[in-house]
Amino acid sequence: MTFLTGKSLPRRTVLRGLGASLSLPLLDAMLPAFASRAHAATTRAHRFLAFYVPNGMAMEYWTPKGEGRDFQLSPILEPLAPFRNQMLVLSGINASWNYIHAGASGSFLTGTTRGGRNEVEILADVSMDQLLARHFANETQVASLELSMDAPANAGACTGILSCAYTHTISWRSATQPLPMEYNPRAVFERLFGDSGSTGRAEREARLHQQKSLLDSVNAKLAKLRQELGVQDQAKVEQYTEAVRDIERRIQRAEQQSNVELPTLEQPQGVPPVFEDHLALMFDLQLLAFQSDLTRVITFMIGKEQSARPYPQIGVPEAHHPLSHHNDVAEIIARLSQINRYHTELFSKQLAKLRATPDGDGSLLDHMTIMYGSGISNSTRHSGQNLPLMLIGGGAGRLDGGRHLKYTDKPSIANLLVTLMDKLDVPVEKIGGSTGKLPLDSLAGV
Amino acid sequence: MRRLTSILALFVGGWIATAVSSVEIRAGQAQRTPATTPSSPQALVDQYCITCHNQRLRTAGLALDTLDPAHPSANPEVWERVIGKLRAQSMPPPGRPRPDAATYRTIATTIEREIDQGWAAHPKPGRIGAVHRLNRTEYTNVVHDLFALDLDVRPLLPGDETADGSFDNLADALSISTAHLERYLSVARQVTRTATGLPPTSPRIETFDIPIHVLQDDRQSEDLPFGSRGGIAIPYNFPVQGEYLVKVRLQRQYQDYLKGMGWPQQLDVRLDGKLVKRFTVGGDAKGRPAALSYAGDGEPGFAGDPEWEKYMQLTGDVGLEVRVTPDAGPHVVGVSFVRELWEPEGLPHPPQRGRTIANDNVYMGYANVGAVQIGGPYKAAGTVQDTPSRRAIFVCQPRSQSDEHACATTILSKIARRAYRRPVTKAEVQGLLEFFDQGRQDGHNFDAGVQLALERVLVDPDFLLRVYRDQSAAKADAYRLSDLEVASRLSFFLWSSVPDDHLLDLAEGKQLARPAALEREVRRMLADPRATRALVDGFAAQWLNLRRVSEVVVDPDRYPTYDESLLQAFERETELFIASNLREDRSVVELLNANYTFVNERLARHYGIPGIYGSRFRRVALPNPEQRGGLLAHGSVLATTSYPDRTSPVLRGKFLLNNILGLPSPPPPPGVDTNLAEVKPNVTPPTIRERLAQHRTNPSCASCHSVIDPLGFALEHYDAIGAWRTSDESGRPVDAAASTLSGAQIDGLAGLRGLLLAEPEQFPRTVTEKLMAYALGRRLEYYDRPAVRAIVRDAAASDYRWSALIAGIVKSPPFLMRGDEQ
Repeated sequence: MTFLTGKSLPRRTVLRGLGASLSLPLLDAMLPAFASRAHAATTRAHRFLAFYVPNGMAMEYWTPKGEGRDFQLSPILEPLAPFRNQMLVLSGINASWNYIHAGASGSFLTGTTRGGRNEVEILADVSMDQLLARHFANETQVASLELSMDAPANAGACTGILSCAYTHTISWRSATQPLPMEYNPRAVFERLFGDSGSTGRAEREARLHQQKSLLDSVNAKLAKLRQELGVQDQAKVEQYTEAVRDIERRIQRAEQQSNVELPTLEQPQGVPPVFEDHLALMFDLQLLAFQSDLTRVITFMIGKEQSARPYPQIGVPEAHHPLSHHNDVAEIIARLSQINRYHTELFSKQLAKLRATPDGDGSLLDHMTIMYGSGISNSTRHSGQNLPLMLIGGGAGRLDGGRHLKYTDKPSIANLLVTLMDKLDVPVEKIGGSTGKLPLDSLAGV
Repeated sequence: MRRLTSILALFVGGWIATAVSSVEIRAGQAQRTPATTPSSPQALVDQYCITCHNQRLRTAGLALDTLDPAHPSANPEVWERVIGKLRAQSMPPPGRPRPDAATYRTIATTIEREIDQGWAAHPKPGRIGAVHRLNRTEYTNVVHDLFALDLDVRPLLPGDETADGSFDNLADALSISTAHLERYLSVARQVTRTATGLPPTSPRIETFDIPIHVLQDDRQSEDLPFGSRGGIAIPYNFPVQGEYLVKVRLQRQYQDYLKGMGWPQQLDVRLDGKLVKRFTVGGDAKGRPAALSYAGDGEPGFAGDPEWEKYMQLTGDVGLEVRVTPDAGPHVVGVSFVRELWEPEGLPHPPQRGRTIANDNVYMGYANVGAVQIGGPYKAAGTVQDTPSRRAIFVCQPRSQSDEHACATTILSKIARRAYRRPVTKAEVQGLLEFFDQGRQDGHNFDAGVQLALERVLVDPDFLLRVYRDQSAAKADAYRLSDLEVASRLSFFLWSSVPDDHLLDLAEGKQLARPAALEREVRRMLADPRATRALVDGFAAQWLNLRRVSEVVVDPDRYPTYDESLLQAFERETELFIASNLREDRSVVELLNANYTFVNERLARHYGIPGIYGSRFRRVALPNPEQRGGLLAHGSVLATTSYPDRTSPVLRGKFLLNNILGLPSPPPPPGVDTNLAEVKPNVTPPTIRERLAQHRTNPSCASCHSVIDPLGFALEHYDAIGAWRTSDESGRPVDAAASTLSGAQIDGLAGLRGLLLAEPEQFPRTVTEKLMAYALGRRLEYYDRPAVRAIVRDAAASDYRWSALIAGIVKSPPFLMRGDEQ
């Protein structure tokens, strides 16, 4: 017990530590219950991924030349050439809330027009991924995953005088509840696959068998208990029984599916020290989560907003955030573009895997909508105008790719979010400060 | 003529919940003093109550004209409400004639006495729900008691439902959902695997972060050496003998620059206090540093030279790792700096929050520990080692395979008896042995069999639920609980855990029916350190909202001296204070008027107590009794009843009313705008007292707030983080004087204390009520009040000591009996 003697350790520190260590799996090793496989077979599951890159973009190296179907890939987009026909580059869209770096990530998926006024006031709007998560909550085991390459900030102000919450997440469960993003692959693994230690079939099956017999014997005892209690007192035993039945049903589904071979992934130990190794794990976990239909909604920050990560491995040893404050010096912008291009190179490899993974009548990528980009364009000016944004994936047949769309009426990113909800068949009236929808399929002049 | 359209809020007692009607108040009557002092309940009701509370008007649904005030025991539910009003002196409403304070008390006592006599002849014990689920705290304690395992499972289980100011062990509130069962399955596995010493399925890395607002300029823990600074001591359970990696990450500021890298400092890693390795960090940055700010023109960007950047962001804390090879079981991993006895010259920048750490502090300030990671086991030894948990579980070892069932039976029967809190049946043991066999087969050894059977114990309804089975023979409307049920009740009350073998032996031998034996057992259990721990952590922490201290947010511009270390100190002070009061079995009254408290240097500075150095908490006699002394001047209480940018006499008054005086106040009536008028810019801001004057002018506010607000005003000398002040937010001198509805004048802490202790029974009664709800696991009802009063009356002879209140509760009908199904 961590009471008086053990109190040397601040209570929240203990909780954080143990939380990380012991995991909160949905059910140990109870693997892909594939809650909605049957459903997925009839109507194609449509997945959403938001891929956030920090510190804006070297726009000179991002914006493609030409519009409509006739556009040339820019240096940053060039690594994505194999996916050109499933790519929609969007220009001219503005951030809904522009406040140094906090507004960039804070409004990316929330479309919010507001933020807090000091370090302790944390305020935005519910984010698009969470609206989707609510919708899918009953169909998948994990409503949504929020992932990052950076450790969460436990307190403090990160940008101006505003809370670190804004720069460390893009996902908001409610206007006042930013969701911490998980950066530890081990924790993500446990959240998805429990603590059997492996996605291997034998391990999964052994654990399922044990759990089934545990529940069987509990059930017998509950039945007896119900008999011993008066009618009035039975309600809670009913709750218990219902919970047992619920889990038994899931185990049954999982057993039916346990012959599905997943790529075997051993449980990661923790956060690998090398960026690329860490990223590879985070990518693999995303792929597995989508592939097994454990979730349909993932948000991912390859760097927290205002990230200072240097990239010496590609010859850019300067810290990313200070570098992005390039004061319009051409040579520095060129160096910044190297980081931006490195990100699309890494992203491209993941897209290739998504395309190589069969799903229904096509590939996983065919049944995805990915929103890639940043909530700020020119970091030197902290500009929220003309954001670097693109959509990638087949959108389950709902996205007409291979185009570069330029909007001239400065629409808010909030309008894009509402439009995407339509495409994902979860229509909503409004997100954040949205004022309408965005013409994606029929933009005049394209 | 004045019309009150809503009088819902008139009823501070909160007992009367419905009916909104209109009342006419004749202006001329408003301030007239009563001609005669009523000498009987009947006279009082006739003179002060019946004008509104009669059959015709039925104000707030209450008609007293048809009831007999001489025989309140015929309608105790109604009359207990009336007693509540009289004790609070909150009726008649402000502006109406009212009795004097002595009359309030005498008449209330008269009514109480009659009700209590009726109750003594025919007590109604109430009925707790038949199914009472363990909460997270109890589960954690049971894991400790069954398996000698310190594992906080609270973060792994769903939160327990609790109402504000209530307790998380109320049976009716604790539900069971699929999410609960999922977690129970998961936790049962993790707990039993750890306890039996089975190796983890794979090595894991755990991270322990230190929040950025925790100061690291002093010795952080009793488990770190003298002369150390900063860092953390981590109690860690190494699952098996083997090699583990301890890795340290230093703290970074908001741009990810390591802090305090301007000069070399020594960083130690320790295992159980013994130095494992000493590192030197800092002092090696080469090249031009980053600009102090990136505002304005000049150099493009603001980054330093690449080699400086690389050191400050990447390499400065690389390689701070060491391998350790501990035995299996609990150890303490310590990480701390060696304290320097010199300080850099110059004027230090005052500590800041927000962006934290001004730029000049970044470089030449202290380096801090950001996080410690413990990874492993690598190269597990493969041999099972003796640990406290294994000693507790494996009370026998099979000599051969044929011996295994016998030994498993011994182990499982012993643990299941305590887990189920009763003797186990043969059939149950047989059932557990089937799981032993399955685990034995899957895991290929004896220990794995025991592990799976224990996992089964922890998901059993008889473990997770306390079940009260109606006694079929009972024909009366109430029956006495079985000795085993009483034993469980007692241990969950005092220990928040299962009974020990001694208590179970007594219960099985039907010894608890004798009051003397019961009382002896209470004393034995109170003397166990678990009792103080559980009652402070479970009861007091919820009664006094200590669990909310860590959630306090503060406007950093207004209160720059606030930091997380201060909040931790607030919590600790109150815990230590209550713990010593309990352990030494003092009078609960001392909680309000003690002349001592517990502080460390950080808190002493905050309280203005000189001469206290170091991070260790100690008991001090208070040099400033007009400012400090008793719970009401604790930072924990004052900070949790404030807003981020100002004090709140309303929140403080409400806290005092509900939690100290024991008089619940109803929420504001629906539809009333509870926002105070905005402070206008560019004019001298009004004091909070001036702003709250709105409460007096609006009649629907006044009836409650004229009781609540004055109590809060008395604490105006304490700012939003509990520091003493002489001028308030508006810049004007603090005015801590107030007059209560009944005309008593109070000024500051001393005045408030005087008021709260004016009636000696009042505060002990509140403590008893709260404690009893916690002990029973249900809300108190009107029919419990006679029992509370009896306990408090009896405890007067022993100065309201904890043992007297607790023994009184344990021996009371509501604790020992259960009402029949209605």
